Amino acid sequence: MKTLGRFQIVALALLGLVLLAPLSLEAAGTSLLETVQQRGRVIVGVPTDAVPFGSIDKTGNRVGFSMDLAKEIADALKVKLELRDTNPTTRIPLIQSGGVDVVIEPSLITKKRMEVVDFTVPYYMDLKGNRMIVEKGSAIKGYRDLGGKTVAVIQGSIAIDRIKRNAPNAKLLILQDYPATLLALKRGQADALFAMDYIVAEMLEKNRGENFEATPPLMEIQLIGMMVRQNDSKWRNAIDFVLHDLWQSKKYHEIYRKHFQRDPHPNFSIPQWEF
Amino acid sequence: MEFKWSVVFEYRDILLLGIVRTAEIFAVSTVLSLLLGTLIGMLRTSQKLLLRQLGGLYVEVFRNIPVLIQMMFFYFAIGLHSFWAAVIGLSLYTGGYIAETVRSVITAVARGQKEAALASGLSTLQAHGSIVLPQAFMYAIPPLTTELLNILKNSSVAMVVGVQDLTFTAREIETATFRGVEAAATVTVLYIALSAVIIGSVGILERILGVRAKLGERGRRSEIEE
Repeated sequence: MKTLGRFQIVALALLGLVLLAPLSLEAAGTSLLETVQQRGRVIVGVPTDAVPFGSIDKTGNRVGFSMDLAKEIADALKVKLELRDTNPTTRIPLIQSGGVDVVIEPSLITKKRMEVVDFTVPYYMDLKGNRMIVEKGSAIKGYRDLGGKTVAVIQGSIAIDRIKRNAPNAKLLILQDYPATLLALKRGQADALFAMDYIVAEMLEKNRGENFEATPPLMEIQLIGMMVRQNDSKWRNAIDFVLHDLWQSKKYHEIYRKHFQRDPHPNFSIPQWEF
Repeated sequence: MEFKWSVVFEYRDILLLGIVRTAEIFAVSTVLSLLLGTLIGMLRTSQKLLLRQLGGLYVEVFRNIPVLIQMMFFYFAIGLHSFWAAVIGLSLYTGGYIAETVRSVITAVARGQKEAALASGLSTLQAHGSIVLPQAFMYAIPPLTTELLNILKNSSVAMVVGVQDLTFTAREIETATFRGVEAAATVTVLYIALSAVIIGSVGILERILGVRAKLGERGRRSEIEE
């Protein structure tokens, strides 16, 4: 049993590492606003694979709506901007561990997420919601056609909750990224690919000439906010005020048009406080 | 940041499903890759050049393609069911490693053993089956244990083709609760526990066989001494 004994030690050591590592990163009682100003640098998490929010262009530069908003925040706070790549898996742990000060991803504001992070005021909204990519001429048009069909989604996306609620008989093929879901659809492993409207548009654009089409949008509200750490209203307010000012000066609209080629939704506005 | 271990316990049902799925992949892949590895390993030590080259080709192809790519190939290109795409990709990959282990332990068995077996009238197949392979197997146990542990760990790649194994389960718990540290720590411990089971089982097997081998050795030695 000598081998087992050694194994237990290793197990305990690993467990200890896993448990203690985040503790050392715990921030002190001051607001991130002060930390950021002292540091002279704001660390912003932006996506690299979510056009038009954040991606990397052919010359290797980060571009996108999130990226431009990050610049505006850094300018308004009069600090330097440091960007970090985040994705749906890393963004919440990074907020919690203090690895980033704010995450500007297309993250839907949900009650579940609000239990672990705080959201700024919504900075983006659309009412198109999700769409599906299906083979041309497919009978699948909406949730009610999904009974018994296999739907490709990515792990951790809110799409899964929506499909489970609206089409409980659909079979889910849960993969790790969007290219894999598209491949599964092409190879007949899935009958439909389920994703947010702008991702669907991007995927169809890149696969023009293939035998696919998008279903009509499922018309669900997508209310998206920036994520900050919990219980730090000073810091959250600072970002809310920047967003407020961007909207008031119409700079927001300018950035929005640059990336979405349209005006913000008429029913949407960033909250405006008169005094 | 405080820890809430109870959230992991709430997901014990899907954790259990994840363990079962990982164990299934491990069991099927182990059988397949041992069979394949032994076969290819024997080809590699064949006296016929063509068979040796065939064995060599297999090893160079399947050992050198990342297991992730192999699984994706069998899933997306061949169109297998995700479980079988994962198992076959993993078995072909590990088969290449096991073949090399088998080859090296066969050559480690003194050549005289095989020659003596042939000289005493056994056929090549009999000589391999009853003289060379049983001895080779004893040498092979420690390196094969490593390969078995690799099968267990590499099975975690299967989630890229949609297999809901233990690692997938951890991410599922993480995305549902945002308790990534707790979920990761839990599956870490579970993988270590599964590894311990494998090591323990091999240890028992080795002891049983080892006792038998020692008895055999003593028998042989006493004959020589006489």
